[in-house]
Amino acid sequence: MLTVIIPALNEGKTIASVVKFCLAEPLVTEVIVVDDNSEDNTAIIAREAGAKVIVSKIRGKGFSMKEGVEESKNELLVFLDGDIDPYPEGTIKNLTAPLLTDEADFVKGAFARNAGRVTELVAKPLLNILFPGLAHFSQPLSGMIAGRKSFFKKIEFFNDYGVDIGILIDMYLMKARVKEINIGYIENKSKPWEALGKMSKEVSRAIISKTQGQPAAGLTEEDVFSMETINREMNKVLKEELSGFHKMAVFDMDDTILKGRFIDECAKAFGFMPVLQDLRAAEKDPIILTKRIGLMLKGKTMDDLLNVAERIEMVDDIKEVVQSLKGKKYIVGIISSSYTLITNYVKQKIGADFSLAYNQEFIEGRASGEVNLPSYFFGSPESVCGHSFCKTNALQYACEKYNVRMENCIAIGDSKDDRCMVGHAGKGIAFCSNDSLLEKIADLSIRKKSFESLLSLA
Amino acid sequence: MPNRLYNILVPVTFSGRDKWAMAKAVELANNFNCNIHFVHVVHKYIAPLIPVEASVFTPYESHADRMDSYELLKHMAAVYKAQLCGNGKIEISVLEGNAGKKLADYIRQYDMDMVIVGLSRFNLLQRILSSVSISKLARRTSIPVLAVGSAGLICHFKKIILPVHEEVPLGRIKLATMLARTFKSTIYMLTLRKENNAAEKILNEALEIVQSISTIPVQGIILEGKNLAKSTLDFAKRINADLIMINPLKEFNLPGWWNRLTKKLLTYGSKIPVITVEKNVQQS
Repeated sequence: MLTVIIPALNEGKTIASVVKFCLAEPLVTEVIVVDDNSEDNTAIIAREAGAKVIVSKIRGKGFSMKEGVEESKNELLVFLDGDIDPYPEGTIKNLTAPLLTDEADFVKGAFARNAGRVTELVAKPLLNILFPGLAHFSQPLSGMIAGRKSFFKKIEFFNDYGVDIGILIDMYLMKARVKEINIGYIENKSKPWEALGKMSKEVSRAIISKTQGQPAAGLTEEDVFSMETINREMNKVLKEELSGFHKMAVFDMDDTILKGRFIDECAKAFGFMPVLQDLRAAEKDPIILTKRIGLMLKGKTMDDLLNVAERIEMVDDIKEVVQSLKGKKYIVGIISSSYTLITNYVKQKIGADFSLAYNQEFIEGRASGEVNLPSYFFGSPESVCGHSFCKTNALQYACEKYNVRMENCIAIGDSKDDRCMVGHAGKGIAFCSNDSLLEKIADLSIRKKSFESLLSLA
Repeated sequence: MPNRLYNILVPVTFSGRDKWAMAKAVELANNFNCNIHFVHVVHKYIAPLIPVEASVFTPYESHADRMDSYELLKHMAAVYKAQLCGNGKIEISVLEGNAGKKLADYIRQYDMDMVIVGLSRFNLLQRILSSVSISKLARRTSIPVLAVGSAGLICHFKKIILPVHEEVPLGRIKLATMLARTFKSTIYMLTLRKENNAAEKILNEALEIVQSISTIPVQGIILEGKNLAKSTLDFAKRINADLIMINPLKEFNLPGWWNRLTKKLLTYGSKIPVITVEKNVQQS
C-alpha cells in the first residue's frame, strides 16, 4: 500500500489531474496534497479531486514534504510534483517496483528531457568530487522520488532548492539502497534564468553542507584548494568571456531623454534663474557648482521636484526605443548630472534598468540642500579616462556591475559633459547637440528629436 | 573607441623582418594581455604577373607548402610563447590566396584590433613584391597597422607624435590616448603653419578633444615647412619620439617627385615605428 505526497504551491491548473492520476493506481491508498499556502484554489480543487489536503504551517517544499511524511499512514511513500501534467503511464508503478521487490530503500525518478543547467554545471561536478558514489545519477535534482517512511523520518529536509539533492545524499549517507529509475518522457518547463542563480546557490550549499562532519566524504585540504582554484578560474573566464555578449545603452537625461534641463525648469518654477545663470558663469569647478546648485533646492519637497520633472516633456519615441533596445538584449540605463530622485522617476517612466546620478539629501521629505556625489563618479587608478570626476567613471562602474565591455556600450549625450562618455563608449551618439566637438567625437550625430536612428547602431 | 587591445595580427612572410613585428607584438601583448595571431598566406602564381593561383595546377605541392608553413609557424609560436608573460595566447594560421584579401578577411572574421608588420628599409622592388601594402590594409580593414623596422624595438611609446592636417583625426586621437594611458606617454600634436590660422584652429580642437576624453599630457606644436610628412619626421627625430601616427593620405607621402610617383608614405622613410590608421567616422 502506498501514500503519494504532493507538495503544491499555486498549482490549481494541474493539481486535479495529478491527484486523479495517483488515485487511478491500484496500489495507492492515500494521496496527500500539502498546500504551501497557495494564493489560488489549489487546496479546494485537490480536495474535490479526492486528495487529503493539509495546509503547511511554514512555506517551503522541505517543510511540506516533512509534514506529508508525518501525516502518511503507509510505509511506502511516493513524492510527485504538482505541476506536471501528464505523467507518463506507470510512473508510480515504476518508481515503487524496486521498493516492493525489496531491491531498494529509496528510488529517484529520472525522465527524458534537456539537461538541466544547474544539474549539469553545479550538481554533477560537485557530486563527482564530494560524493563520487552518486556521480552516476543522471538527474540528481529530480523531485519524483519514492522510499520507505522509516528512512524519510530520519532525514533533515532543506527548505529550498537543495531539498531533493539533500534527500538523495542523506539516503546515501544512511547507506540506504538507492536506485535511479527512468520513468519516461516528461514535459518540464526550464526554470527562468533569473531563478538559476538562487537555485545554483542553494543546491551547492546543500551538497557542501552534507560533507561537513562526514568522514566518508573524505575531503582533504588539497580537494578544498583545488575546488577553490577551479571555481575562481572558471568564474574569471566566464566573466571575461560572457562580457563579450552583454550590451548596454546609456542615456544622458537633461536635454536628451527630457526636452529640457531639470534644474532650469526648477529655476523657472521656483524663481532662481538669474542666480543660477550667475553661478554657472562664475563657478567653473563642476563639483562646487553641483553643490551650490543643490543649495538652491533647499526646503523643496520631493513632490515639488517631481511635479517639475513631470512637466518636462520627454522625447516622443524614448519608450519605444528603450523597449526595442531591451528586445535586442541591451541593458538600458541613465547616467546624469541631475538627482537620483528625478533619474529614478524617468527610469520608471521609460522602463530603463538603472540610473546613476547625484543624491540630493532629503530630511523629512524636504531637500536639505546637501548633494552627495556617489563614489562611482570619481576617478580611480583603473579609470579609463583619468578624469577625477566624470560620467565615464560612472559608465565604467555600470560596465563592471553588469559585466559589459565598454566596447559594447552605446552612450548618448548632448553636452560638453558627455564628451568623455561618448568618446569612450563603443558607439557614441551626439543627440541634438550644440557642442560641435561632441559631434566630432561621436560616431553618430542625431539632429532630430527622435532616438529611432540610434537603433541602426544597436 | 578601443579601451584595450584584444587581438594583434602579425602577417608572417618567413623573412628577416618578421622578427621585428613579432617582438613588438609580444611587447604589446604583455602590456595589454592580448592574443597574437601569426598568419602566413601561401600565395604563388603560375608565373610572375599572371594572376592565376599555382595551386589550381599543382594542388599537392601547394598542400606541402601549407604543411611546411604550418610547421614553421608552430616553431615560431613556441619560441615567442616563452616571452609572453600575461594571459595572452599565440594562435597560428596558414591561409591560401591573395594575401591582402585573405588577411582582410581574417581581420574581420576574428576581430583583430591591430596589425603589426615588419619593415625593411625602403626598397621599391620589395614594396612592389610585398604581399602586404600598409595603406591598402589600413584602408581595407579600418584597423591600425603598425610598421616596425629594425630600429623600432623599444619597450614603450613614451613620446607619441600625431600630425594633424585639415581635419580633426579622431580615430588616431582615440588610439593615441589609449596607448598613452597604457604607456604613460605624452602626445605631441603637430601641424604646419598656414596663412589663415586654419591649422591652429584644427590643432586647438584636437587638443581640446584629447583633454575632454583623457588627462594625458598633450602638446600642440605648429611647424614651419611645406611637407607635413617631412616636417613630422624631422620633429620626431629631434625629440627622439617613439611612435608616429598617420593616416594613409597623400599628405603623409614624403616629398620629391620619385616619392610622389611611388606614393612613398612617411612609414617607409621612418626608423621610428609608425601606425597608419584609416579615419572612419559615421555621421547621419
